[in-house]
Amino acid sequence: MNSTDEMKGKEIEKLRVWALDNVQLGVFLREGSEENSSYYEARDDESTYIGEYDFNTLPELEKMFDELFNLQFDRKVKKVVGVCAMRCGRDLKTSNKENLTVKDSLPEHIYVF
Amino acid sequence: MYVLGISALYHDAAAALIEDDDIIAAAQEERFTRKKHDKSIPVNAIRYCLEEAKIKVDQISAVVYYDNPILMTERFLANLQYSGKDSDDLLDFSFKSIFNEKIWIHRLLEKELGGLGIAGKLYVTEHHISHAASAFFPSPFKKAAIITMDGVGEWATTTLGYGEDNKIKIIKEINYPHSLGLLYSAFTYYCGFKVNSGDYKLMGLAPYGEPVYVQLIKDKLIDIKEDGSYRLHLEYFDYIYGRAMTNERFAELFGGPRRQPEDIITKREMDMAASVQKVLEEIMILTVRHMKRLVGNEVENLVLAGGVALNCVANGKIVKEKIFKNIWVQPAAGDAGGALGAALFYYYQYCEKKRKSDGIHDKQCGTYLGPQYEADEIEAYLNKMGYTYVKYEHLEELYERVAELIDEGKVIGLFEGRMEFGPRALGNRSIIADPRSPEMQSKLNLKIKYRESFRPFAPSVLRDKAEQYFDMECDSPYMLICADVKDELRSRFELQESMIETEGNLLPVVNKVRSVIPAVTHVDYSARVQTVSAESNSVYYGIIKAFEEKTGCGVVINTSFNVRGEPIVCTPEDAYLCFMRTEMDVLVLENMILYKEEQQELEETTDWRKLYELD
Repeated sequence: MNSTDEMKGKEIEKLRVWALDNVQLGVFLREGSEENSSYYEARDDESTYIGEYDFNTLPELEKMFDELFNLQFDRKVKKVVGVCAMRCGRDLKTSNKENLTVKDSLPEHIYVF
Repeated sequence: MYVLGISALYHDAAAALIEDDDIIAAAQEERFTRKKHDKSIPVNAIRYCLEEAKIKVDQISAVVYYDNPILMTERFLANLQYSGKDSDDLLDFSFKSIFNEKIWIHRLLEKELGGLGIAGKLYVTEHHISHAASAFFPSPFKKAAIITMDGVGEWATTTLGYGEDNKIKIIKEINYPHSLGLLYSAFTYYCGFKVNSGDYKLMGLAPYGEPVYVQLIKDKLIDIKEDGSYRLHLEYFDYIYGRAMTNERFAELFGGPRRQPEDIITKREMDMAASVQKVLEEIMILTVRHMKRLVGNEVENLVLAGGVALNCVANGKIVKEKIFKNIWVQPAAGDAGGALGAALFYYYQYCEKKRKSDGIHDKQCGTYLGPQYEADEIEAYLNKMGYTYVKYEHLEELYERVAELIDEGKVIGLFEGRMEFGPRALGNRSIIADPRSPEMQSKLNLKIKYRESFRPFAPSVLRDKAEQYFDMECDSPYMLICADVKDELRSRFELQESMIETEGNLLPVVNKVRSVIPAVTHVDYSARVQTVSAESNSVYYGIIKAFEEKTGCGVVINTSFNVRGEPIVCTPEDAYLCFMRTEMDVLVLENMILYKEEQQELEETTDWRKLYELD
């Protein structure tokens, strides 16, 4: 395993530990319940319909997380995710065009989303 | 102003280029790479779009991507929190694609394009805004209700919205993990079809079954409200954990493990297909009714997009309900169409450009938005390769000859004009044949498409003759609405009796004659109809018209020009290879006809069957 893979392995492990320590079965709970007449959520916010997408540095990426995330995540996990992204992003600077995208290695039974 | 829209990294990568309010070009990447459902950055489709417009990247005002990676990352984190100690698969399968690709989409595209146009920065639209825009902006309507439904975008899985002039607005939504698209895909997976691309097979299987599981689905899997909103019972699904769609609890409900691909299809799968199809239709109709209450009587139009809108059987049921007077479905309703929607949203809503609509004509150009090859270019290719052909100087003579060949029972590959954008072949990259022949469905399935026998073929019918053959009052130029074959054209056929007789073997059932156009009549008498007008496609119309004049039948079979597992053909070379690899009789390339018996045997160094993964 090269140092890049090792580094990514560490980031994955940090996310795994975070998931374990911050379990929230109610994270997908929305307004509306079995007793209500509707499960629709009203949508008023139009601010995320379209926007510029650009970041180069970790602070810029963290700022995008702060502006766009609706759920409350602690600063630590945003940092972990940001660092994951920045470290993976280093590969883009050195890779050639042919290697620009990850080879499709998802097992067939996994839905892509 | 040129705007380039891009979809990639999930399903069906595509590029679409608009110039002001005209759609100049759009194409799916798979057609160029020959890799079905290719989701990689669509470099070839982008190159094609720029070539079609004869422009370079630095002339593009903006590049717009159809999904918001930050919002998607938020969903990923929420998924991790839900999964807790069961998050391993989620991390293992998602980490690379998110952190190496999706979150860096701006740099990937910048590197690939050599820049991001005049704006110098990438724009991103929300996934369902891309779908909604692809449904409303090319439609003929000044005002319309908008419904989008799919597996999931960033968060939304269903949205209800409204469009007027150059603006769209989402009013209500349902969010992940509750998803009608994922419910349907769960059944697709369980019945042994490909989870990311096999939904249409489940839809085709449904008429063979009985909806015996509907109540079980409603009791155990999904709670549906009167307004069409729904919530899944998540304990039966494993996709939240990044694993397969369903789990052992789901399997227990249906009496055992899922069907393996290529295993025999049993009554259980047929009944499951019938059941989930009925549930989906019920939800869609309730949703449309609710939408009508929201927008009021003055809004007569409904537009649809998102992968669920490819369910033409459900669309046909919605049309029959007559809740809205007019319905328009984006032909590339899945993720490929998101590229188009992203570009259009930027132009109309973000840049506040005026939008013209006459209520009758859409802006989709028949969805013939891909590359075309001029006749002299094709002729030069044929001469270079030494292939034998007959050239027709006059189109009328070509139409008559092709009609003659169809009447003789020949199977014809038709390659004309610009390639279609979206999953359906609409006469420009089609295999056509005689629908009156009782053997043609089997022949096409087994000798041309090399695919499962239960799947029906679809008809193309002259627009002005559609009501003679089908119970339909609306136009269906994009083959996205199913209609029933008219009662007086049907033959008596008892499906369940036939299934008992054949002990569940579908091939003899499929071969039973069900109407005067048996090859395009499904076992429940339904058909996925394409109406063809001279305005939308003069060549295809000319051929079908000539066939009608010769035989009295204004319908042909239309199936996509490809073998199983292969994307629809794009180039004349793709068409020739498919022609030679199958038992197709005739190939028509623009005004040139090639006969199989006059061709030299095709010599290939590799077994082409290994090139394409079976779908």
